[in-house]
Amino acid sequence: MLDAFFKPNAVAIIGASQSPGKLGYTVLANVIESGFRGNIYPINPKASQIYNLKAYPAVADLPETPDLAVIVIPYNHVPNAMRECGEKGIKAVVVISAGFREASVEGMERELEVIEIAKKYDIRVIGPNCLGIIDTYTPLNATFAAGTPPQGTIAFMSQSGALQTAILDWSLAARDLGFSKFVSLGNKADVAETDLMLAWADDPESHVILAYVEGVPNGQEFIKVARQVSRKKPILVLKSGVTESGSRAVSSHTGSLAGSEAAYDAAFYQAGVLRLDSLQELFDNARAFANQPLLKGDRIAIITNAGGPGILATDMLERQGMRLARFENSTIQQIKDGLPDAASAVNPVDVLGDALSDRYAAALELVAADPNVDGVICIVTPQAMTEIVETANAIGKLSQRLDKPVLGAFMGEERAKAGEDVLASYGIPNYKFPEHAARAFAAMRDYVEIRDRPDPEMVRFDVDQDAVKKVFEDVRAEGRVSVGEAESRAIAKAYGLRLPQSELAATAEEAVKVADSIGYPVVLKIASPDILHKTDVGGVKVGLGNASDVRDAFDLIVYRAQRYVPDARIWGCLVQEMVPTDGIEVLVGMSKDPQFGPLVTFGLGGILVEALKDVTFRVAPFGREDAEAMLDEIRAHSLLRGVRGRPPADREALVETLLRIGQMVTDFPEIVEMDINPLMVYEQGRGAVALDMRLVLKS
Amino acid sequence: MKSLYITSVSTFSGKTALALGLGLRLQAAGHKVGYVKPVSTQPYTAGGRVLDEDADFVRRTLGLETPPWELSPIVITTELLDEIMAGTLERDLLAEVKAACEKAGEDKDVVIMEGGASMREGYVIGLNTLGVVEQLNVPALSVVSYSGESCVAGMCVLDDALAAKRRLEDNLLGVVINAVPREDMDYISKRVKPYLETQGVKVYGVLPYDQYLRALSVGEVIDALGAKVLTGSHLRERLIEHMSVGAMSVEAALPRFRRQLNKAVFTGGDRTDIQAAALETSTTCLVLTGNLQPTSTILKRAEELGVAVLLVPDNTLETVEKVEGIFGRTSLGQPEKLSRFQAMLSEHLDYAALLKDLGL
Repeated sequence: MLDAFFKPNAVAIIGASQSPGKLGYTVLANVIESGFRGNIYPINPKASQIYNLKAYPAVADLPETPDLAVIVIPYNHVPNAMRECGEKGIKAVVVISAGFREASVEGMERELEVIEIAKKYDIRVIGPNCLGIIDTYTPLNATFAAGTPPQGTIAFMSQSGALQTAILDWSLAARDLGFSKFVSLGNKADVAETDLMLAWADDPESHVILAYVEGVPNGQEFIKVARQVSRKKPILVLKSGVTESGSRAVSSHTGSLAGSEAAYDAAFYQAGVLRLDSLQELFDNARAFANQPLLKGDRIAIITNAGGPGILATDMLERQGMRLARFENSTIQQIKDGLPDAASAVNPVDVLGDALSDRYAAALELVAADPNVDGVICIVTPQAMTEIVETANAIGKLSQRLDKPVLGAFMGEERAKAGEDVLASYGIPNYKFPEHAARAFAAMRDYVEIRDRPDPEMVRFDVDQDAVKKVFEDVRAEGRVSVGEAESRAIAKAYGLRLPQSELAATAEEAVKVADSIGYPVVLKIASPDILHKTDVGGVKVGLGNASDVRDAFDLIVYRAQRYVPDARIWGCLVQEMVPTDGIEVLVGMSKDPQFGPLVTFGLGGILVEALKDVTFRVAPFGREDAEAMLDEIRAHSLLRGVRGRPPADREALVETLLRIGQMVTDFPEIVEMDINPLMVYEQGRGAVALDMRLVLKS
Repeated sequence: MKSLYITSVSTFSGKTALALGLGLRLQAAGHKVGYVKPVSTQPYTAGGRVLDEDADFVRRTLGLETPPWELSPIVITTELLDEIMAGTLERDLLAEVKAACEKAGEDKDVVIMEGGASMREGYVIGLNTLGVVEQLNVPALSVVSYSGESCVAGMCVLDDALAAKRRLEDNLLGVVINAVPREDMDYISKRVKPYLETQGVKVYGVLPYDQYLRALSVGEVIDALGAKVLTGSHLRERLIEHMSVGAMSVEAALPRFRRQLNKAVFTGGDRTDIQAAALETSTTCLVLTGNLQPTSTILKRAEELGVAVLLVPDNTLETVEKVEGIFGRTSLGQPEKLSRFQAMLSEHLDYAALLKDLGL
């Protein structure tokens, strides 16, 4: 897929120029200098030859149909060039030119025109307003960047082209940072993150997919595709614009409404992508994935020539939920035998400050062979006698024979550099700070967990969609968007949610009958269209425990109502289930996210919501596993499991409520907000009751 | 020739709307209708004369041929007040009013007189509501606007209606209670209205509050702000029912935006996020402040959605204050508003009783 972009037979450069300094010159120069083996066709009506290549006035004049065209001409001419490509049968076009959506309304119209033409001729488009694309294996560099990054296994896509020029420059010096693909997405008029993920999922040259993302316009599609691809290889994403000001900046950059931070967190988790907080973390972690085998567990061994850094790495491992490996006794004995007495043979293994390369080699060989070790961090501080290069060579050679990942932590700069270069030649990433190595292992562990996470079990309940449709139609007919209490009741019922039972009784005897069927205690409320404030007229009695109480209460309430509001129409009394207060108040809500759609919230409810904000999120639809995980993700999860002798809450009832709400908001995309607060959940077996539910429909 | 004097106890209570609604209804029934607004406090200048804005609007809508200055013979201006206080006024204002009313009634079956906004308005020039009604000896209909926020529901209505009765006595034909919130409609109709009738105050109608009728048109906002129209110049007639300020985070703004229909959103031209959020929801008009141009994506999207985008140099606070000043004081200037009000009158006003009591 998308092979026409990355493995084209030939490339046409529309707008190739002979004047150095022009983009059309740089792009052509890059294609040539990258060593592209196919035919290169400069298109320029004013030149017959550029860079020793025959130039053609138009695409139509080419002797063959190239797979790929790169357009570098002023934006208002791009639609025309696209049409010519279409007529020629070109199926892949990179539009480098800027001046489109990002610049003006007119530019936006041209961009829409480009999309239109692309659809008509079945052309895939990368850009516009982008840096271009690179494939280091083809090799092809169709960008206007200064240089080509080293070959490697990282496939990188970015919404920011300028950011890529910096990363490229950095990779030229870093040695252990190599790329397979390097794509600038620009305005994403056509090809977006999901297309590239799918294209790279089975690309043998790419071990890890990296993305710098500002916004994900089609969030649901992103979750689906990323989940599929992340089963095959890790996807590391840096999403910018996560703070309030940051998202505002993204909005003005992209012109669209940014998704909420909570939505991105939930969506990326569900999509199985690893989300990083900074560029540095993105590349720190990518370097580990690029050439090292994946971790098979979370037990890490540390070999160090200094105590302090070993402890720092240990702390970071534990903080990230990793474990310090516990060696077999035989391993400890063997390490002891091979090291001076003062050395530490338990993890972290301290080979002492005077260690030469042989001690590292011996220790690494032994710990790596231990069945309780899943990965190794080798920390080297540059002490006076430390053999930096030799040690790096020893680690590198050994690591070639291991099927466990090894990360270097050669600390320092001046002297450490030499070791770093050697490690890079063996595909071992080096971290100047041991904590970063620990963090990279944690990311690997996270990925393995994600990869092996089963697909969520999607549950569908039998519900009454027509009843809900009817309510929504009525609400809309009245020009409202807010759904009232009684209407919410009907909706809740249609989706199998439990509300306090309630029935109208016209006489005292009927009230007793209803109360008998509901079960005591019950609440009685005056039922009259003319009495709004029921309590003001003494129209409510709670905690009625038996038939005679109900009878008396009925008569009293009706008598009072007649006395206070003489001409009120009195229908009787509502007999309601008296909801016990011994449950836990939680909330289930939903707010529609602009990018990902229905974002369902679960958390502690009642008056604690605002104060504690103890909530967690999922993008609907989600499965049973997600609903179960949500219960455990809130800080107060132990409350649900039962603390201090309280019985555990009815988790199944909560899971089911979440799933039913997930289904409702998926079935009815017109719901933009929904809240059940509080949802009273009782001990196991006693279920959960929605005490208050509100909905807002799309206006 | 019959006359009806429409008065009220507070400003912006719906007198002009009722005069217009009644006038149209009477015209439809084949009556020849005249209109006069004896004393005007809303002067504006046109064709070198000081005129009343409402009166001119009624004139145009009813298609009256009377020149506008004859419809509002006395327009209160600073100069007029100065002359009265200096004792130099040589006009007989009452005579002018009488003359204007007679003129308005020539060849007509009925003349609707739009009176003062309160019982006391006009004392200084000797033309207060009570005085005019007595002098002309015409039946009066008082519009009582519901304002339940500040007192026990219904109390203000009762006070106002009873006070009108006490002052106008037998000249009071009855009242129309206006702008009653939906949830209080039952109470006012079933409790307040019957009670008032036992007190000799006839209630011809109880009209519900309707945000739509208070809506401003985009054009009114453009004019009030002197705004530059970036897109949607053909949308001047579109109505704005709510105003919302976008100064908060999107997450805080969205829930509010979702609940407000047909709103104007006031925000900085640089707040692309808020603008995008507004466009996601029911928005009539974006008012961008600080003279900061929006992005092309926003403009394009607004154009597609039919949302007017206005640009003003002031900051958001100043801009909102200017528009707030005209909110709720708008006329039924848009045809949709007028027809909606007509429909409301048909449903909630007892025309038959009113016409009968007028002797028509």
